[in-house]
Amino acid sequence: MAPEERIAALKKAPSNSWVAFSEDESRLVAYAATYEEAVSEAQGRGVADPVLVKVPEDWAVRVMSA
Amino acid sequence: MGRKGYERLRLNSKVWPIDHPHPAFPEEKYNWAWILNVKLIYRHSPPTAWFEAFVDSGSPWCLFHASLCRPLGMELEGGVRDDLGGIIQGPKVPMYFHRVKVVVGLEQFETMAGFSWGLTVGGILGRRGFFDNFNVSFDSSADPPTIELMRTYRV
Repeated sequence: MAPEERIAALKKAPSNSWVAFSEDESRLVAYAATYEEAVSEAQGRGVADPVLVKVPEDWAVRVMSA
Repeated sequence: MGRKGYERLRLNSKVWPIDHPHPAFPEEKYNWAWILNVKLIYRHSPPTAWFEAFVDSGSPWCLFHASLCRPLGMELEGGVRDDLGGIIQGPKVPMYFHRVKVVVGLEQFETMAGFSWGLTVGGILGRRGFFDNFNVSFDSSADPPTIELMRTYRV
């Protein structure tokens, strides 16, 4: 998946949701409200081992430290 | 005591959205970030699905979103309580430490990791657990930027 495609897929996702991509991350598979729903939807669409992304509340730039 | 290294794993960084181009960097439409795919294992649970975690040498620990607890069969509040805050002043939120195994590529390590509903991303790979088990190098001059990992073992 090209960087622009990944950006578009992530920015379309609702805030605080989860996005599932295919095993090789070449394709968007599902949007879901929870981790469990995202896994379930991906597996229901034939993607046994999806890659999940937790979508933040917004896309503000954050300094990654805790 | 020495350290022994094994095979290196070199990966491209991933793009991460931004709300809008920063006025200081108007040409940049997104950020590159050091993001790795990981799985978690708790006790004898099946592993989670792969999910993205940010590599963050500024974090003392590995941290994960609390929504991963239920599929792992973990009782969030049964862990060791602490408060999670950022480098920007603001309210702290509770987090709970549990011992988990973290799978990165073909490697895995065990660590006490914090779980919190306040985390904005799926996971953060910090110093304890991740950086003390991998020799990590970043190359931001590459296009795309790359990250290279080499598992190390104390001998």
